[in-house]
Amino acid sequence: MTLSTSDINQSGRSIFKTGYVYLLVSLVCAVFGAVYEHFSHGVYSGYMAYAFLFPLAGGALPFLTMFLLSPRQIPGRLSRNLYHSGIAALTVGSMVRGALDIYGTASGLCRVYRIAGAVFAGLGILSYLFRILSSHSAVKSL
Amino acid sequence: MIRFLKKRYVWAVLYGILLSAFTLYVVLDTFVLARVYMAVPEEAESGQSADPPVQSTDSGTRIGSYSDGRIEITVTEYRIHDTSVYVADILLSSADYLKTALAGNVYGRNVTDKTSSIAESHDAILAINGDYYGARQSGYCLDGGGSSTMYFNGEVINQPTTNGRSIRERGVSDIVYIGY
Repeated sequence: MTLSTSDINQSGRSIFKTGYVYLLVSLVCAVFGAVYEHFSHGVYSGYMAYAFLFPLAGGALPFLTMFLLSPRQIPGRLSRNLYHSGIAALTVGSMVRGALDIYGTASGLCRVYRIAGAVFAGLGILSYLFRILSSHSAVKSL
Repeated sequence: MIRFLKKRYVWAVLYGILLSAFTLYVVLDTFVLARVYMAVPEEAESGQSADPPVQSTDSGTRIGSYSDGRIEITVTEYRIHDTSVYVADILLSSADYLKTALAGNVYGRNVTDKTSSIAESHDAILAINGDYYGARQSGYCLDGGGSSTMYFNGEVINQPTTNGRSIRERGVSDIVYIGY
């Protein structure tokens, strides 16, 4: 399938928008973590303080890099839904774990966030790679 | 089904609801929902307990004492269930020697200092961390956990923790101490 110039521009804008939204989410998480730590009576949790790294390194960085390098190669909706779900689970899980650590307790259910996050993000990446391989195979067969 | 999920924002809404519901369950499970790990065994008909009461495995190690005729303090370390327990036996000729002190000598919010620093500035013989009054709007209790600090004869004798990884004192809002 040949993409028109307008399709490429639209795809590029979509990727840039996704990266930009992740950047805002990272900022919100960083501010939330900083405020939470400030009122935690001297108790510190790395999970709360660094929860913003998941949307930053796992979302803003790859999508903005993708926009700069190759706007043609963008993930499909299913890939992005899966990947966003994974990053969301990891971020929320990190903040919940941080809140519990600061309170002075723990929950075994927090590992569900890590497992779900890794599975969804992994499936999203695999789905995207499969899409790339499929499109390359289709081009070669022409 | 997949086509439905591919529709704009449907996946995000459904997943957001699922993630929120699970997070709510985690919070309820941690703070609200009651869980029984072990029931207290019933006492035998003879009136004696089925299991002997928990006792320390040793008689303790005396690690320090102080006596001046008005204040007598003996600090003993016990080892119970792989935990070091420090017990201070205190005998006072007057309740006036049981005191409290505030961090920075002010009653305020988020004003903290280490137990040892507050104790040293008030020439405390023995001190422990107080109730951290700023953490709650009402009620009185001695703050515990990693904040637990015992100061005796010029040094901290236990191992208070900070952020669960380092052994060092935390800032506390007030202390309870024995001194003049």
